Amino acid sequence: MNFARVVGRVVATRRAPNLTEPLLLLLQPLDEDLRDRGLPLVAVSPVSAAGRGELVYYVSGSDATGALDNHFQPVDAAVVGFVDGYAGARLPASQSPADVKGEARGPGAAHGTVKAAGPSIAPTVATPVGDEGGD
Amino acid sequence: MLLARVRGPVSSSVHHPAYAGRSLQCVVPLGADGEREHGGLLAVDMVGAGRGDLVLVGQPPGYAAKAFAFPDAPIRSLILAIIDRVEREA
Repeated sequence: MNFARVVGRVVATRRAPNLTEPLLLLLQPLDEDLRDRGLPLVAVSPVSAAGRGELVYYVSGSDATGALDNHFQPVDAAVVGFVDGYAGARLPASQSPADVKGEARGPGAAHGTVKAAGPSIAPTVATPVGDEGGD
Repeated sequence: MLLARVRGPVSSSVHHPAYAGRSLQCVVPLGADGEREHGGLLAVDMVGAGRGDLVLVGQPPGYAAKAFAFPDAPIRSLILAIIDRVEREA
């Protein structure tokens, strides 16, 4: 599994047979310091609809279809969780779902989202520079 | 899966039987800016894509073998959808 930031949504009506998952998210994979790493990729998000700017983690390869009800879908990447905290730090407000404009996603609580266990200390996690300001 | 631009069809008169009757396309993945192109690859087209189309390319394990009813089909990359639009972060 890897970190990624949601950077958009992909709309496609003409699809291969069995590619029925409605939501296709455009993700920018991130490294352990939450810096961009590699090409953007497209993943389904069966757990919940992520809003733009949210920090998530995804699984790729043959394990991705395990996240789906229909395992026969032609999918090689799936968002399997939303990050609330990392390395003992809560995420900066700029990466929390509440900060995402006009994007209401389903409550993560319904899917057993794990809350950050550590105290609410100042974030020590390096964040991507300059592109989280919203507008 | 990746966003990619279709460069064009690949014709091949000598091929593995799994490729018989398939449409093979050269596609070029797009960078984070949605423009910059990265190294191309070949993909079997599932949706009738054409040159210049923005497409979704994936490597879903085992899917080609099942979809084509061809056990152990040596096909890795597929064009899985034609993309209408990408709604990026503002």
